[in-house]
Parts: sequence; C-alpha cells; structure tokens
Amino acid sequence: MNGLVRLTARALEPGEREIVLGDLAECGSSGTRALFDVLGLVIRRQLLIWTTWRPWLALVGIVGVSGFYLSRMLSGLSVGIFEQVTAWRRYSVHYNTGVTSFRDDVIQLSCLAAAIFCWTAVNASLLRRLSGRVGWLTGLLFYLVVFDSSAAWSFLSGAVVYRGNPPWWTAVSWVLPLNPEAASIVIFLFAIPAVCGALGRLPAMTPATVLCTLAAAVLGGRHAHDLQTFSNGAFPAASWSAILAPYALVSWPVLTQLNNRCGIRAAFSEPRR
Amino acid sequence: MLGEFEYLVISAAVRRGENAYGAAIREEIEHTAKRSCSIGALYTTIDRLESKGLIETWMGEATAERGGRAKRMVRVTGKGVREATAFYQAMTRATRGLLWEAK
Repeated sequence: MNGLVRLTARALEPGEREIVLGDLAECGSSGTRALFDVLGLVIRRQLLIWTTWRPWLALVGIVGVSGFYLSRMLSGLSVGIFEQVTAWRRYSVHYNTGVTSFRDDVIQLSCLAAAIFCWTAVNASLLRRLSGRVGWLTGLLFYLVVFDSSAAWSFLSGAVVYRGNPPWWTAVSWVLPLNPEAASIVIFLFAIPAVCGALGRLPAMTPATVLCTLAAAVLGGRHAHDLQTFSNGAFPAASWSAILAPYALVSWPVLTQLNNRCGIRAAFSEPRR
Repeated sequence: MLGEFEYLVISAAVRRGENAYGAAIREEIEHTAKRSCSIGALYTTIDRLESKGLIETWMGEATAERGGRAKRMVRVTGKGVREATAFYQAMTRATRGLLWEAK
C-alpha cells in the first residue's frame, strides 16, 4: 500500500479509514486499484454530504453572499489604506480627501479593519461548522470569492482593464496577493482570522462583531452623506437601508452564535457523528 | 424493494455468516457474481442497508494480516432476510418461463 493511498484515505473519517486500509492490506490490494478504490469511496462520501442543507447554506450564504460583500469591504479598505500609505511614502503627507478630516478617515478605516477581522472569523467559524468534511472545498471557494469577486466585478463592469502583464502573471494574481500592501491586508485581516475562526482558536466574538458592524455601518453611512454634501449632490448618498444592507449581509452568521431560546445555536452547531 | 447490489451484499453477508465483514463480502461478491466490487460502492451500500435496518454492523477485532486494523463486521437482520427473500421471489416470478439466449 503506497503513501498516495494513505494520503487519499485521510479524507475519510478516522474509523472508516482504518477499516478500509485494513481491507486493502488483507486483500493485498495496492497500486492503482487501491488508489481508485479509496478515491471512489472518498468521492462518494463527499457527494453524500451535499445531500444535506448544511453545505449548501455554507456555499450560498457564506461563500456567495458574505464572501462577495466581504470582498467589497476588503477592497474598499485596501483602497483607503493604499491612498494613505502611498501619500505618506512618496510625499510624507497624510492623504486628505477633503470630505472628512484625516482623523475621521483613520477612525473609519480602523473600524472597518476591525469589523472585517470579526466578520472573517465569524464567517469562517460557521463555514467550518456547516461544511464538515467538505470544508476544504467551501473554504477554498470562500478564499477565492473574497480575494477575487470584487476585482472580477470591476473587471466585468469595465472599471478595470488588465493589460501589459503576461497571462501567467494575471492568472497567479487571481490566486495570490502579489504586492506587499495587498498581502499584508489579506494575511492579517483574512487569512489569520479565517484560519483561527475555522479552528475555533478565537474566543466568541459576538459582542465585538456586533459593535464593529454597527460602528463600520454608521461611519460608512455618514461618509456617504458627507460626500454628498461635499460634492453638492454630484455623488448622492444611497438610502440608509441600501447603505446598511451590505453590512447586514456580511455579518449575518453572527446571528447563529446568539444563544437564544429558539435553539438557533444548536441548529448550526457541528452535527455529532 | 432491494436493489440488485444490495441483494448481492446481503447474500454475501449471509453466506459468510459470523465471518462477514467488508473485505470478505467483497471477495464473496467478486467470486460468486463474477463482477468487480469497489470499496466505495460496498461501504456506501452497507451504510444504506444499515440505515434501513436490514443489517447491523459493529467493529470487529484487529488482526495482523490487516496491519493491526479493525474490521467492520456485518450481520443481516430478520428484516433484511425478509427483504432478500421478497427480492428473490420477485425475480424468480419475473423470470419464470423465460429462456435467455445471448445473441
């Protein structure tokens, strides 16, 4: 029995893995047949998980909805930080939009960064609980949606044009952050809270998430109205419901952490095997 | 009603008796039905039969030839025997009087 078979069998539950590897050892099965045997069982087990509602909720609710809005929030934060860092690095001055004071800009970016950290951790925690053994797939998709969907949206709407880079570079840039600022943001505000949240290494962040979401939403809405005033209506602010909707959609998993009498927390906890 | 592969698994388990477990059932099916039996198909079918209450499974002892790993033992329940009997009788009735000739 070769290492590849053992590696593939790691995708099975520990008990079943032992049984299957024992059967293969007893039959003297090895090589390609053993590999296909284990692979076949792994694929069947993975497909079976999709017959329940849990991974679908993870896929649609977290990867699709939360992931998309998290991507847009991260993108907005990246632009804000990039403006400040570039202005300071090149001209040693603060980047001042004129819309709000520098102090207010920093407070808003800080709140948004803290909120993104909390949202990522809470989303990743629920993603893990809902996905079970297909967590590797939903986790990968969550990363790709958060990392790429905002850029893809800009690209498809024609706001961004890619040119001058070789195709391989463009392909890699869709999977990995290739400049230091983007890498820092992805690592500290996405990768670390996502991994820690998924592994349950962070304390319950319910109050922090609610507070950060409220602060980020209010400051974001106020900024939109300040911009409307500053531009004499050239950039009209959306209604408060339209402003708050993305914050609600990105933070909805925190509702599943509330320990209420309706049993919501129990319904979303990891099923016992 | 049972499916064809479910019937084969139950038949193999009954034939093996007290010594019915994954690898033995697989060998029995491949030997008697002259068809290959993948581990994936076997274990998902065993799970399905168990959830229907047609078989019972439990962890057996580990042996040296299995590298010290445990077996998943299988026992057919009374309900499983009745279902298999019904399947066999249905197939017998359905094929009575037919002469199959390969063309």
